[in-house]
Amino acid sequence: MRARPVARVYVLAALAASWAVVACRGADTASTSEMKAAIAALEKERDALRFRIGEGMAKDARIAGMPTTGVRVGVPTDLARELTTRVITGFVDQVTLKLANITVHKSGSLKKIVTIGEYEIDVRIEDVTAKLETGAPTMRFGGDRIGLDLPVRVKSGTGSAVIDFRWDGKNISGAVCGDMEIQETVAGQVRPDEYPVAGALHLAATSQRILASPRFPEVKINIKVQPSAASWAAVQGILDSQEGLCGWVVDKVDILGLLRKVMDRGFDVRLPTEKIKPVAVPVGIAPTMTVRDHEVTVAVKVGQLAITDHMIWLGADVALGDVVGAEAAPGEKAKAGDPGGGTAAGTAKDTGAWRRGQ
Amino acid sequence: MAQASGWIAAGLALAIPGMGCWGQKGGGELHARRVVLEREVEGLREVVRRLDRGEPILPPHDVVVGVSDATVQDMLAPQLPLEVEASGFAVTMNEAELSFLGAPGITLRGSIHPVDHPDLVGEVKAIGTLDDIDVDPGSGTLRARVMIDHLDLVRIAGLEWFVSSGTTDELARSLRHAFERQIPQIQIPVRIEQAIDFPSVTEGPVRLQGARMPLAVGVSDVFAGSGMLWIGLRVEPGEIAKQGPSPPEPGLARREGGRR
Repeated sequence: MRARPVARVYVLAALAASWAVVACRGADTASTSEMKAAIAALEKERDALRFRIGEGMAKDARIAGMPTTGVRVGVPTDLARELTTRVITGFVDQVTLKLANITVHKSGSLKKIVTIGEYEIDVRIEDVTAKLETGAPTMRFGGDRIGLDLPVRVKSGTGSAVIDFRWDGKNISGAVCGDMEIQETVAGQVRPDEYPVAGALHLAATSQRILASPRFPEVKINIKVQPSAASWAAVQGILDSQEGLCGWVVDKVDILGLLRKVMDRGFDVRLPTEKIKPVAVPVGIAPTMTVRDHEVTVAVKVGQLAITDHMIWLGADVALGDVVGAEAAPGEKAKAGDPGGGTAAGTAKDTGAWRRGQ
Repeated sequence: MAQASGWIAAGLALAIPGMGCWGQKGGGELHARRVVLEREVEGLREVVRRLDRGEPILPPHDVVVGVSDATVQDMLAPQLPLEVEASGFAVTMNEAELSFLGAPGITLRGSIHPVDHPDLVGEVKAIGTLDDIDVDPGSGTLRARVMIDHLDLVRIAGLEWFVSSGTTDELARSLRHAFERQIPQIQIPVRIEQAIDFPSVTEGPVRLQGARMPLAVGVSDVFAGSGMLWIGLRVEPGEIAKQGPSPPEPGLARREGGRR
């Protein structure tokens, strides 16, 4: 008799379990079929969307030249143009030429049937300060370079120079007038002038970055100091003080004309463009990463560098390399995530081989 | 005693439906598949909306950085396993799989066991995305956070005694939050400089003082497709400032000879 309630409980439990399993299976079957249908619809839409995007990508001119490596960096040429212009106008335009101790030496002889004398002129720039300015650059993207044309202007400036004129009279001139020396400091303005400069920025990919190296042919600018009227007047005053036969010599030699010619020719100054160091494009591969509190080098295999009308593309494949500062046994290198040992990606120097970030 | 056994049997029978539905092999996988697809399709829709507006896929004036899912997966692998404890369970994620299709998806796989019963081991799978992609101001490298939005107990292997259907969602939520706090930020091995430096010229007749042009850099756009994660970076150049002392003044000489 006591077994009956227990039996009832077992029966109830069995029934409940059966109901539960059936109910669950039914619900599960329904939800599974709904789920499968939803997945099928999503897959169909996904494929259509992918096709549409594929078409859109194919039309995008900036995709041309894109590398196929695991890491790709693209710099739009519009941005490169803007940055380069900012650099030129912001950096070069701040350049102040400060010249000192530039000396021009000119010598010659004067003949009036016979040699009447020899002269030497030394013009020594004591101090010239001039401002440089550039015009809008023209850039061309292609190959491994950015072609660059720009006008460089000597905008303004001031300076002072010491004129040293020495006359060595010969024959009759020497007999009646002898030698003569004029030394005068003149001050004046730097004459503005413009110089077209054509060169290029050569781009090269290293294991971490793109470097832009300026390559310009020899660029010479000519600094002309125009002595003030007062300065010329002072020189003229010295010349006017020569009298008699010496005055005749001064007139024949046209000392003032000689001095003007020397000053008008100006002073050639070569811009040291070769000294301008490469500038890094501000996006590149990180040299190290932090893995489980360890600094780990990034091994880089540099891929293509492509410069098109629209984009500058750098491609690279990367892998985690050595743990920074870890000492490895000979023939063995510490590996990322395994600071105790293991073999890391090899390193090599040439493009196309694995490089360790530095 | 028999009555007690009967009530236990009945209790078990009533508990079975939840566990059975929850633990059905294949149901979780379908759900996970749907989550991944929904995310991918939403990402693709956004790109197509952009095309429909006549906008290019890549941001037109910004630097673009593309990184493949395989590359990020390789970067993440040494950071495994990831281990967390939440709601009395210990979870160890041993595998990470990244898939950049429509969205930067990440799937983590591992094991789960009650903290007090390490012998009862089940399988767990977490699905999420890379989110909050930004530039680390300290190192200049790109970094991303992993956001887990779906967690499946793939194989429960005895865990049904500890996990009822009613608590599954809560457990999943706890584990998700624990993982999001625990998973380290993923570093993307691309560095963006915060400035361009112009070295000084200290030799020769003309000397130039070094200068620095600061750059304001920020993530402008992110999208994933065809196995690549694309990150747009807005780069705004600042005012150039001179740096360091002025170089010493130079000098040179020229000689000419002539005859009049």
